[in-house]
Amino acid sequence: MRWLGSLVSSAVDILALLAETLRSLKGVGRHPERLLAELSSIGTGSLIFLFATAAFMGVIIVFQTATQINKAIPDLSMLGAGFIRVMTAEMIPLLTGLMVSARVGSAISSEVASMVVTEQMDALRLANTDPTEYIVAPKLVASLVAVPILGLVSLATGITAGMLVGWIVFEIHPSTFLNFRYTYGYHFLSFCLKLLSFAVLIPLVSVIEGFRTGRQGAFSVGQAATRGVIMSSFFVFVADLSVSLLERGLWGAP
Amino acid sequence: MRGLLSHVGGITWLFFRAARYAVPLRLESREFSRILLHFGVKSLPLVLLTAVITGALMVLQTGAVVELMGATSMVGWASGVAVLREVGPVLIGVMFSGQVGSFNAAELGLMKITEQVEALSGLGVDPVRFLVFPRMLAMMLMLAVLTVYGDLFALIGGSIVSWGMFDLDPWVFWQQVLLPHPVDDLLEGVLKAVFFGLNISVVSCYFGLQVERDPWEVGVAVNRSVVTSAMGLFVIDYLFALARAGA
Amino acid sequence: MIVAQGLRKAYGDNLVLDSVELSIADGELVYLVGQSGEGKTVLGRCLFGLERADAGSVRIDGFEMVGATPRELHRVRMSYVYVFQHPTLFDSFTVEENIALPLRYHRTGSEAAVLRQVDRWLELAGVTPYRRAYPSELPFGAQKKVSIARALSLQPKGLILDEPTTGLDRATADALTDLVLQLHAELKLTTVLISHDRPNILRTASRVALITGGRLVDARLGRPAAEGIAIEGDPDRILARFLGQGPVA
Repeated sequence: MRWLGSLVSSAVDILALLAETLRSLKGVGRHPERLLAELSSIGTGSLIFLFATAAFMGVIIVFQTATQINKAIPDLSMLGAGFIRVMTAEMIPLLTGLMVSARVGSAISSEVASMVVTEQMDALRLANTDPTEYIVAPKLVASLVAVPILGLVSLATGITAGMLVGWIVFEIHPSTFLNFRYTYGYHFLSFCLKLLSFAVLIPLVSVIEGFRTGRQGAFSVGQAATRGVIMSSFFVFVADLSVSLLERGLWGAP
Repeated sequence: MRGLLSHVGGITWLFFRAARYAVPLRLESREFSRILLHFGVKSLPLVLLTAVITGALMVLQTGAVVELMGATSMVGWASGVAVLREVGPVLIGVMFSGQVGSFNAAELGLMKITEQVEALSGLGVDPVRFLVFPRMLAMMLMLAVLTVYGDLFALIGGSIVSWGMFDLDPWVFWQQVLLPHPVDDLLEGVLKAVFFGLNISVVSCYFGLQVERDPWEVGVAVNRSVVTSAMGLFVIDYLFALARAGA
Repeated sequence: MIVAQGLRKAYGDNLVLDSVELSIADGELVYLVGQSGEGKTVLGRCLFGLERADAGSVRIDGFEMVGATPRELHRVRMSYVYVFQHPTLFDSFTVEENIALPLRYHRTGSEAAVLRQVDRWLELAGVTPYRRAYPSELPFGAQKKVSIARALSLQPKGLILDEPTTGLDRATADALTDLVLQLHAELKLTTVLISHDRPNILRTASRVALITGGRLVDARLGRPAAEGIAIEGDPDRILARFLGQGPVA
């Protein structure tokens, strides 16, 4: 049951760190090179990965769904509509969240943990540089910029990939596929809300895990990296589920 | 592009260098146990929880499509399940690769920064034999176990959700999942996971050992290993699908 | 026996070692000194296979180091262990596990035998109380001692210590130097100390090799006298000035 307690304390830590980071935000301008470095690391570094994963998802979903539907009623005209709706509201945000967690979450927590173990964090403080401003804030800002963009790119990629499969394999014409009939405004809202919450949660959770490094040197850094992924993923799930439930609650089912 | 090729080359070289210790077997059992223990015992609960949630969420989402289709529940669920069977293991594989691989890349990366790897050499200890090979074996074993359990728990999560939210009898859900070739699927799953394990361990050790001086590089190494191994995962998955189609 | 002849090493335009010659007999204790950046560490590394000299020869127990394969160098380095300036202990392992690591890897005996050895080295280095602690929990001086103990576990013929006392306060530096001397005497180790710790050099050295301007001054120190230490082999009084010593007979 102890892990439950640590989850709760993590949630508290996240809020605390968020508050502190927001206060440091204005100082971010003092270290523009950090912001650029983070943008490149979080953003462009993830692109290919997300391309591949989103395309993979899109292909599989369309392929499997179409195959099954064909067996019962060979009418695939509505597939596109449903597909787009599911990708936008559910699949792509979650996928983006998980992939960014795995990639960025572990990278941030291991980087921070390494700095703690090699005493660089202490060195920063001694040099009168606030770690929150120098390290955490740029990551948060970069994340807020990059994650939504990554989400949009993934969405486009996934839909395109699914559409291509639908056309080439099942002869569904793209024009019938790109059917937004079942996708409502609040689905886009869901999409954005999920991505934003991921953008906030992932860097903060990972930084916290990085700072929680133990005293076993390299092993502790490895542990921090693992925990970074696990905890980021966990909070991504929580956020995703919350927004989905909220959406259902406010606007009802489909 | 050239960078990518040199990495692939390096990774392959490291694999062969490590594989030399397989025959005859020279395993550092302490290191092997240490890694297994860390992942097997300590991370397991949260990892399995993650799997359950993944399964649940995936069903929630594919279920939404199905409701929309208005297709008969059988067909809908067949598609949901088919997606789950395809995507589930890969998604879980990527997540576990992320967890396991980042541990490696980070630990080895820090050891490089603090010159511990050089110190090993100075004591006559071959870093590949001491650090890489045990991890390779441990992770192959671990990922096989984790993926099998992970898939199982994901399906449990999925069946709970389909029962709770869409009123689908769990028995029906399991039937759709376990048929048509339960044993084949299980074996394929284990074999695939073993390859996943090999992939992630070698890739993450490679990038970890590439680190030189700065903690920032550790983050880069972790990044690269997660991404590269995920790509590898897709390739492995694709190869298995090809093999399955051919057979 | 370590014999270096005509050693040459340059970094770009900077000729750090210019035809350096040095002979160290078995069981001898030699200080390798010089200003920071003058090349004492480079010389140390070239002598023991950590770096390759551009020209010249280094023979350790008859074996030619320059041009040897990494594997051969490796084998020599197990007999003449280089202890780095930074303790570089394995921070994921306890002190005990650190010292046991090379023993276990090289399968030197049963687990019980290994533990007995570990006891011995912990004792000799004076770090027994720290046995179950992790390196990050140890004071710097203790970490240095553990790194020495770990080097000794291989039962080498020689020990090369790179700046052993740098970063230590005066008392700990003196204690560590005394420890090294004690180990040298008890275990009959060929010992090379790379250092610029003047007080300890003056206090404990008998043979000093000074590197400056690419050249080596190989001198012997007499015992302290009222006017300063007698230095043999230092005609231009370079070493004397380095050590801050007054005129000598």
